[in-house]
Amino acid sequence: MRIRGIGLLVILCVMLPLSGCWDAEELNQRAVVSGIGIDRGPGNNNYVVSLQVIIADEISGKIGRGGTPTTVYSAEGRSIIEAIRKASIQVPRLTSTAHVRIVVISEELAREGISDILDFLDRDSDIRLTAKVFVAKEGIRALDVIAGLSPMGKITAYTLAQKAEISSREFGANYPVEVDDLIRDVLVPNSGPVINGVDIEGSVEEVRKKSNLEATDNLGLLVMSNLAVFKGDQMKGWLNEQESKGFVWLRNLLQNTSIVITPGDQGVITLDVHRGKTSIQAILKDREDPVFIVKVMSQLSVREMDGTVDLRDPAALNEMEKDVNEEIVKNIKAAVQKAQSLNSDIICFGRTLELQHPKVWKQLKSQWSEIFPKVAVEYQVDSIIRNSQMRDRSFKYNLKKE
Amino acid sequence: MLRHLSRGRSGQQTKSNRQLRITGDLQQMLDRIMEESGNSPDIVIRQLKLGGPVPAPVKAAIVYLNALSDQQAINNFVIKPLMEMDPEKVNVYPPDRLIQYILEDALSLGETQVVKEWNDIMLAALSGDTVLLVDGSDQAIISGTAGGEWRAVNEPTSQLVVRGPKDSFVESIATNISLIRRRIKSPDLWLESMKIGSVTHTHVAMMYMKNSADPNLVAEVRRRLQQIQIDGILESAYIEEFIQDKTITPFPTVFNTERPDVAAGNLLEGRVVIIVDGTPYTLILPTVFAQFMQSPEDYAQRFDISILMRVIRYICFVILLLGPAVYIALTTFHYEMIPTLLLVSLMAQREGVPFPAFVEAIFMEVVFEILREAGVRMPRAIGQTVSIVGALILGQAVVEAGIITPIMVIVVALTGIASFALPSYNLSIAGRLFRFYFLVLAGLFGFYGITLGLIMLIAHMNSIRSFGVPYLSPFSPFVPQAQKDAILRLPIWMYGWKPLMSSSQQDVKKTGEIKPMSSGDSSGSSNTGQESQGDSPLNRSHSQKEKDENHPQQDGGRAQQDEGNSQHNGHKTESRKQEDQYEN
Repeated sequence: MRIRGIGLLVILCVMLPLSGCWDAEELNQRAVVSGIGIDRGPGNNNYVVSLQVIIADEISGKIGRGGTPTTVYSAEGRSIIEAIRKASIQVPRLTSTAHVRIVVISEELAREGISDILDFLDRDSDIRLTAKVFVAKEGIRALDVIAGLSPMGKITAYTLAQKAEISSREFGANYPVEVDDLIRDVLVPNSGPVINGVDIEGSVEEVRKKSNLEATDNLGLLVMSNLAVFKGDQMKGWLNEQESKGFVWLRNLLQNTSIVITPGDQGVITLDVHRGKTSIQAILKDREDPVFIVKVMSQLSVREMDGTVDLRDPAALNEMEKDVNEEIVKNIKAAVQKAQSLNSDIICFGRTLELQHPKVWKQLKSQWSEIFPKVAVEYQVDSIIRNSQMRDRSFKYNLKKE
Repeated sequence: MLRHLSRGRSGQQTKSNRQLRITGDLQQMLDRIMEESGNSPDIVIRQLKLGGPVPAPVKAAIVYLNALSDQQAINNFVIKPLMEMDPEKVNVYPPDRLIQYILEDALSLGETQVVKEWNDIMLAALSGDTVLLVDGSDQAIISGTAGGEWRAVNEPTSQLVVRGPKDSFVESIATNISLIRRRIKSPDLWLESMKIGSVTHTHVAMMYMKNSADPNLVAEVRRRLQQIQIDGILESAYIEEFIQDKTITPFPTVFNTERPDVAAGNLLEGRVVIIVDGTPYTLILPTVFAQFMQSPEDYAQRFDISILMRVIRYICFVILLLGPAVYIALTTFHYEMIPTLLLVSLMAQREGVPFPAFVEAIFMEVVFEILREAGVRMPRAIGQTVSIVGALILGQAVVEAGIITPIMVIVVALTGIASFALPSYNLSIAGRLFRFYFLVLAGLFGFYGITLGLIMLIAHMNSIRSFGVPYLSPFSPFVPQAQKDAILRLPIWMYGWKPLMSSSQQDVKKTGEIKPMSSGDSSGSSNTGQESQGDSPLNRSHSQKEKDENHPQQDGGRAQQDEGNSQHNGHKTESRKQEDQYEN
């Protein structure tokens, strides 16, 4: 019995150095970071890292002093981690990055290349791979985004992440891009990731002030912008709104969007897409020259109508469906052309070819950067209008009759 | 205070008296009774003269303890018939023949016995029976007149149910046995009785169903009971400590109940029930962990509802063990696992609280234990005060003073409530103990420590045996059949003919042999001399089993009983008489 007891003690002692969890820290000794912004240092190659730190008692405590719910510490360093370490000369508590929800990279830095940043995000044991990544548009710094205050929701980083999710669900011109998406996409040859842009509407200076929250129409507001296209780890350019929508179609990530058509004399008709499915097929008429067929199926509902179309009439619906098809093709085509002009295979035609015709891909792989900009694309869009919400004809239909 | 726990000293005295026999000299006997009891005023000695004056009346005396005896029975059924005996026979018969005559023709009582040993008459008198001594005879008659006051059978106080029988065991062993017998009217229900405690001579009865209880188990229980050497038994817990398997564990390995329906149900499942005089808590063995999670209520409610209740109890046990530990681990080690908004709220609470979360948790847990202990011990009249002080002052003021975070109060309160949700009080005590162990582990190592702790806890629970039955059965070893009544409780008609849960017979077979009490162990029974080292306890119990085949104490076989055998087993001599007494 005694020997067993001693044995047990020994085992317990041996366990101590095994433990990987020596980071015991009380919650009131931690500075929980909700967002990280990364800029280039002014006139040098350094990183300026800005940390958005949550001030918990300003958010839910009884002992708040009426300050801002978050605060920003920023420091400069030759590497990101050095800058974060250096920030501790400002931060009184242990910088804890496990709850980082957004990482904002300035456009300047993005154009230079983000591989170092990706390695940091990938390697760090605290930051999650589900943190969302944004590119701050030219003219604003990542620091400005991180420093911004949001009228709804107290932690800006969280509201920005929510904006990315909601706008992708409602508007369909972007989709939330997370760290692991980036790492995966950066490795695709002659391709690269796509990152959400973020912009400040209105005054850049006002958005970080508490006074900005005191008016209903804010002087400055953080907004989602279009998508930034990368090739490899370098940013190449921006998609515009139409191209962004087309791109989301192409990646088969569309959740919901609206399509506006103007069929001749019928005024403006707006339809919602509630289901969209895109598939890409590679056809080899000629071994050297693959043709890609983009097939889109969508189901729509009529949401708004200024005309007098009788939606009970299948022929009228068919007409509308044709217009919708054209509109969708227009979007997708724009995205494809933009990708081809930037020569970044963000649509993953290469991946499609690899999956469908692996042997051909092996031959074409090395020349893909020359083939991709000239590759032929065909579009087959099939839309079905499923419903028309609460009415079939507009009340105008009856007006016209009388 | 603990004198009754000491072993040996006063035992010696009894041993020296053991050989004493009754002499024919009545006056000497009476003097000795008065001397040994210190002229105690509650010992009544009534001297009688039997028979007619010619040639000479026979001197006799009855001795009883007036507080414990049924005075009316003594008057009507002992004294009166003695007075009305036929003088011609009384005067003629020699003393020994006279004893026989009194026994057969005079006493109108059911329980009577002739004894020769001095100790027997003292014990009988002190148990409330009446001793009749006749001058010139070296025999005495003991008549069962035990009576006296007992608490009436009322509702159980600690094991409550909404639906189910409302009676509870009381302190009287005879009443307790009757409560069980009333539920199981079968000659298969056997009863063995013995007296334990060299000073208190406490009645201890052991009941089992002859056909469903494992004979090895019964023999082992009997052996362990017989090995007990102690001055006094005042509660069944004393017995429990002596007979349980010698494993160092806070988990109870003997089930106890104050409910006759639970005892009866367990008897039917093949377990052994030990009833101790003077306490309403009977022991049931062997037991398994799952049994402590069951309430008699489970069988009174619909099965689906019972399953929900059982699952909730298991969850409560986990909360009881891990509640504060998980909180500590989460907040001090794994803050990344807390949802951010909750984290913000926790951080805001912790802002300005001076102590680390670990100290906070220990403090609150200790306060909770103090409150609970105070609540149990205090006089009922001031109960309100303590609950107000506990709930308001400690709960609210401590938070308002900024010493403890509100979430800590929630965690501790939840843990406390969870501990009361367990149907078995002694399991929840074990859980309370382990909660501190997990708290320390979590404070040192976070979830890593909790995981290690759980591994050790489960390994430990796997090592526990209750009379040879693995404590975690039917989960480990996994018995698929027994799952019908473990966490689940399927409808009773699905059990088949016999209830399945860890039926002792089945499990004992599975694990080979009953784990014996290690004879070298210093605790427990210390009579290593009785057992030769080489003798396997199992063999021993087998050989004993043969002897027990027609043992007189076994109640069910009343018809075949053989008086002559009753001497062969040490201190069970008078048990025949007790058997009869229990029948009443």
